[in-house]
Amino acid sequence: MLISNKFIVVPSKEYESFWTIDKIEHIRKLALTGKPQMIFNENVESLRILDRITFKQHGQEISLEPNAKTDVTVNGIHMSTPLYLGDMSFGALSGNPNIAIVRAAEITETLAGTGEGGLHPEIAKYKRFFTQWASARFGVDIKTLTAGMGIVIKIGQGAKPGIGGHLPGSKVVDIISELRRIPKGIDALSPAPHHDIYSIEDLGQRIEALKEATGKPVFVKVAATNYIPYIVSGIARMKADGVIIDGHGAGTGATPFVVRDNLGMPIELAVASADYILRKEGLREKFTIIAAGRVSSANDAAKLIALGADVVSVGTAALIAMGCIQCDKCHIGYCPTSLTNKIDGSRILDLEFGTKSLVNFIRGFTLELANILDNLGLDSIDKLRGRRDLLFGNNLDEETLRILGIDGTTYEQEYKLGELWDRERLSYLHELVNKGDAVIVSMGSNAPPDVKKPARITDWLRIDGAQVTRPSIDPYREDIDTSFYLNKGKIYLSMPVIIDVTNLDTEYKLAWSWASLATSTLIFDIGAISNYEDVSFSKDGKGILTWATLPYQDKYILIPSDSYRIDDLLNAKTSGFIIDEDIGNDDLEVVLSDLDTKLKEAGVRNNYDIIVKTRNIRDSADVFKLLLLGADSVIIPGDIIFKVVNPRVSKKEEIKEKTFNFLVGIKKELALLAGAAGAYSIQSTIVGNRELLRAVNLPSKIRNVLRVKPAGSL
Amino acid sequence: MIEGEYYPSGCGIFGILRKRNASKIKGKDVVRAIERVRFRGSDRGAGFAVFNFKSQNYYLLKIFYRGSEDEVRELLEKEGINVIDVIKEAEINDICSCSVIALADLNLIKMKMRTLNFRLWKDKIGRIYSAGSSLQVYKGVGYPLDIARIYNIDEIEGDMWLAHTRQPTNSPGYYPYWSHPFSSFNVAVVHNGDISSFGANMEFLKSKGIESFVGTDSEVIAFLFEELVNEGFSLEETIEILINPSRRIRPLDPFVEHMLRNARLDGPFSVIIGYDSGDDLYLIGIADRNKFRPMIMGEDENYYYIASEENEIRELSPNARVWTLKPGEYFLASLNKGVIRYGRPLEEIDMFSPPPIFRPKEYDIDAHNIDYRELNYYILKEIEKGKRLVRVANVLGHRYIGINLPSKNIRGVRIELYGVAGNCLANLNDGNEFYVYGNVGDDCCDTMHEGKVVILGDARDVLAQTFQSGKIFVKGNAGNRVGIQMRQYKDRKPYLIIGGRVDNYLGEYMAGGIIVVFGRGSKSEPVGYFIGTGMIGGKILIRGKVSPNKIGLQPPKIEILNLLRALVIDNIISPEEYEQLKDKEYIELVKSLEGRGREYLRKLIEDKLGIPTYEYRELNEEEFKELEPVIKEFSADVGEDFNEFLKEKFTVVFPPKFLKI
Repeated sequence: MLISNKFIVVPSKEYESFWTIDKIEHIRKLALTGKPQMIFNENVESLRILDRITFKQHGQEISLEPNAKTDVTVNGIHMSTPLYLGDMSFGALSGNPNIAIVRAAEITETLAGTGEGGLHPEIAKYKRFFTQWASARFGVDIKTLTAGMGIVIKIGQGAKPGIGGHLPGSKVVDIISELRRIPKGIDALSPAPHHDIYSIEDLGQRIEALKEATGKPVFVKVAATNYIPYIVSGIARMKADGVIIDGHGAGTGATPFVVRDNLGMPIELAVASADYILRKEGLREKFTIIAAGRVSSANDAAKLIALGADVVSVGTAALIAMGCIQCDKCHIGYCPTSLTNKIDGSRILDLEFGTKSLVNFIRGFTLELANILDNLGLDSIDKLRGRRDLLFGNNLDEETLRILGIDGTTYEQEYKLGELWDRERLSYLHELVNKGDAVIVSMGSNAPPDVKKPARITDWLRIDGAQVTRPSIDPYREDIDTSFYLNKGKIYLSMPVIIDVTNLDTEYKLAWSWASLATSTLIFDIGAISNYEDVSFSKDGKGILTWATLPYQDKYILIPSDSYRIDDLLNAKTSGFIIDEDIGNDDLEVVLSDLDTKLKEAGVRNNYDIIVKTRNIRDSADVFKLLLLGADSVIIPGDIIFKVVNPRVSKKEEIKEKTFNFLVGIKKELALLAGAAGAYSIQSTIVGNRELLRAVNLPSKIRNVLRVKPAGSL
Repeated sequence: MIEGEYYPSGCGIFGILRKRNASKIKGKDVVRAIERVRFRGSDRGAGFAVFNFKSQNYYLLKIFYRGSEDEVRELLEKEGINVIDVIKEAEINDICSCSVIALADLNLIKMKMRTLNFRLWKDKIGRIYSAGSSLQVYKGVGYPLDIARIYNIDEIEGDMWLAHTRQPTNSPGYYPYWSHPFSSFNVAVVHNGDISSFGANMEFLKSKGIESFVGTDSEVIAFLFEELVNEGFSLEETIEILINPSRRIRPLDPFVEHMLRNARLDGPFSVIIGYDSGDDLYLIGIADRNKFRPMIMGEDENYYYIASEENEIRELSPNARVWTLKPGEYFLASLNKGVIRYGRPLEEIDMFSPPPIFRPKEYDIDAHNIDYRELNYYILKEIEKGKRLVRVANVLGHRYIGINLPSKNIRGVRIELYGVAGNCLANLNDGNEFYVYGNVGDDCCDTMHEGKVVILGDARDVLAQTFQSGKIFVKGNAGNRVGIQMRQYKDRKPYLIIGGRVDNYLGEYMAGGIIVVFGRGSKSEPVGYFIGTGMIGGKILIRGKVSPNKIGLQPPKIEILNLLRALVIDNIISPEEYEQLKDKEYIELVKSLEGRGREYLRKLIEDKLGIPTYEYRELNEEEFKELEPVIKEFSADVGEDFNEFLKEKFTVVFPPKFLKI
């Protein structure tokens, strides 16, 4: 058996990643020495909002024996430092890491969260942890609930807002099966919502029930999504003792790629906005905010506390302290550092190594935090909480500064900075066309606009995930309707996706035609494809739908995505519009939203379809965001698959299967995204529903045209 | 376009309509009913809507305004409305609540309600919150009882009432604007739930020229309702559109759907609408397609009731007959015409249990006028005195009964409850027995580990979630999402036996144990849709034949046909095979296909857990042996013989690859 008892080399990434080598090295130094390394590590060039926030004035001295006190008492629990080791389940982690986390919490007088999945017998010997009441109730009984110092009702998590828990069957071995009381080898799926919590008063009912049953403090864990201030306010009103807000970018053992990268907002916006509303409502006292998601250093922690958090939570950082190299393979079960591997006796984390590293990390983190306080001239962490006046925002959008409630400089951010495609996106596409299913990944997001550079406006937009006030809907089991009617209800599409085959060779045109028929959607071309006329959207009038470049009553008019043309089109006699970004000068998002808005103002929107066409589309989330901005369907280029399929070496049958997989995969992911937002019918509920979008630090000028609210706003 | 704010909230709701020959409904009774579910709301908002049907040539307006009565008069007269009288009814946090009697053209009133509200709301100085010929809304900041005192609701009488208690996530400024009911002209709405279509619905309404919103779901629903009726849709059509039924199960006309994109509701909602059509008064109750929010209907000699919880109805009418809506259905009744639609076939309504017994001859505790915490405390006291049987009379909506027992390590006690038990009965139950001589609310037996719960009446939604071991017996019906995530481990196995019928999502995500549905007295299939969706273990037995299209989550027919056509083109199946396959239900079709055809079909439709399969047959020997003693015990407990049913044929639903745990 392989015993993991030292750090191994961190492989370099082929794409930009939040957890840089520098961040990992810093954590490792803390874990090795237990001594402070670095404070106020400023990085204002970063796209991450929290990085652009700095303390206005501070010293730079690092002392091994700082003076400031970091201890806090929350809900009667005294902690040596405001640090919570967050909610990683036994099953997601392989046992010894779970034990190490709880032992470290015990030794350092902090707190751990056990996650869902019951109590590991070794963990039951300790006390400094919160157990979890999640939607599947895995391993929950009165003993588990009363074993720790509190209970967490898990509604959602930052890595997959609105999506249920997912432990792959390969990791459900004997002991996991026993604790969770589920069959071995079968995926352990926790439902997306709690089926007893579909509303805010339902949550209140469950909080009260758990308090009555156990007498313990009850916390609620939610992902930071569109309505986070209201949700936190509701949680406090329902008499929970605190909230764990999990921001975008938080880690996980398994999550759908498009969900991870496109839902939820950064923790800094969520904390600022939640703290603000709680104060306004007179609910802040005696209520604890634990901030989670991308907390990578004491510096991050100090800033989040100044924005209003009481305690910060680390998950990924704790794993890194125990040796994690961020290879993002947790969902496969072959963790090279024995942290998230399948429990099969082949490898194991050395418990002493894990515990010692984590204890050192916590001590070093605590000393760095105390040093930060010293350098801010504060003698205790209590004096930092909510001190937004100490913070300064460098080059942020005005609205973002307002939401954060801090001073700062504003800046008209360039909004197209990066490349459309990188290795991470290509591997997503590769898996999509090979499996025909939603692509599953692990660990936290590196998505724009926080980490990677945004390449188009959709990169600044985040989709809502339903949390508490309404249930998210499980796409695996529920009747989520991705189908669309076009042309006054005469055309039925199984999904709002049409494939552009104009530039393809006949062989590939045929492959896509076949796949479009098999999946009940359409292809877009100049001439209708013979035998596939009833799935052809063509110019020659032989297909089921016809387009033209001039307006005709019964045809769709194709127009370049140029803003100046919109006003002339409002009275056009046409079935609908095809806005083509490939031949226009303006951003598709802007032209689309503008046309949608103006047709609505004229009261004629539903007489037309608005279809958008662009080569620059990458995944189902791009499609979904365009729907939210008003598109009735999206035309995707058929050659997208050749980014990951070599046409010269692939057989005809294979190409056909891959086109089919692509469409099926996109359809399933659209259902996932709709379900996460709590919507059954995509056509009626999603199209034009800007309430379900938020913009993260997008320059106000564009945001206003799109009519999308800023993330964290009320 | 102007972007609106949005204020999600939860709540308790109530509606009542008198029958044609019955006397008017007193305000104080409505207050009693809604106060029954005080705990569903908060002190942040409540309200009432009353309709008194009569033909008259003037209109009643209600307005919140930051100013005096005279200013209100001036404001309206400037708009060409002939004001006969203005009465200041209340002052709520510096805002005057005024009642106005006005003479004007109907269309003018409707138009002014929009334009004036737009102007008033832009500066947040006021809002017309009620308008109509027979409708008056009374609302403010407080519990229902507080609002009732402010407006002297007790003394008001009406033909129809709605009532609401609100649980906001936040309450901007503590002003009354966000309190419910919401009203459009002659329409009043209360609802429970947070609709995900809110933003889409706003887009639709804005495109119709409605630009001013205070930002709640009820308001949007009221506007949609008025708009659709104005566009010429009948009441029934309007309601169907709002419900937004599944395209697969109950499609609307595609043209109508297309033209009314963004006009349909989505997400969880229970809605009660009161409507004066000019020649009649209508009470409407609507459930979303999966009935995510609680709502219960009632009827007695004099009245029709709609409520969040049964105890609201029982407070006024202990012997009313009650029933629930089918998912995606609605109740519609009018003052003149009586019931137009029950929201469920009559034969199914007949299957609901008779009124509960509230008071046995002997009992240990009278739950009348004590709260749940006191009740749990008294039960515990009785047990600590050494009692092994505790009898409780007059249970009415008490929640969490028995929740304090597991941590006290109390086992082997029998608790008998007479009346209507509230939500969360016997949660985490670990070895005690609960007998309910009446109905129980939602979330009964969540995460029960051992023991027994016997319900002599009906159970509502989410019964037996993650039920792990022991027995749950229901003599009557159960609701939606029953037995979901049940599981078993080694010798610990749960049995859930239902004498009557159930609705959607029976045994969803089931991982172990046995569910039996007898459907006693049922003329139709005693189950709803989506049986055993996501099931990975255990077994569901339903007496009689169940349509295969109700099992698991199944695709739209048209998508299957298109795939089959593609398979023909690719020579994966022959045209003859296509003809044979095209009319089959998915669950049969997938069995008939082989090889690549089956692979494509499954990839298109299923996730990796697949959909459950089924057999229609008699019980096998092993099953019979296992179930016979359980059903004997069930029969004895519910006082009726179900043993003979075991010899009949059952639809047996189990996971695609049967897993032994």
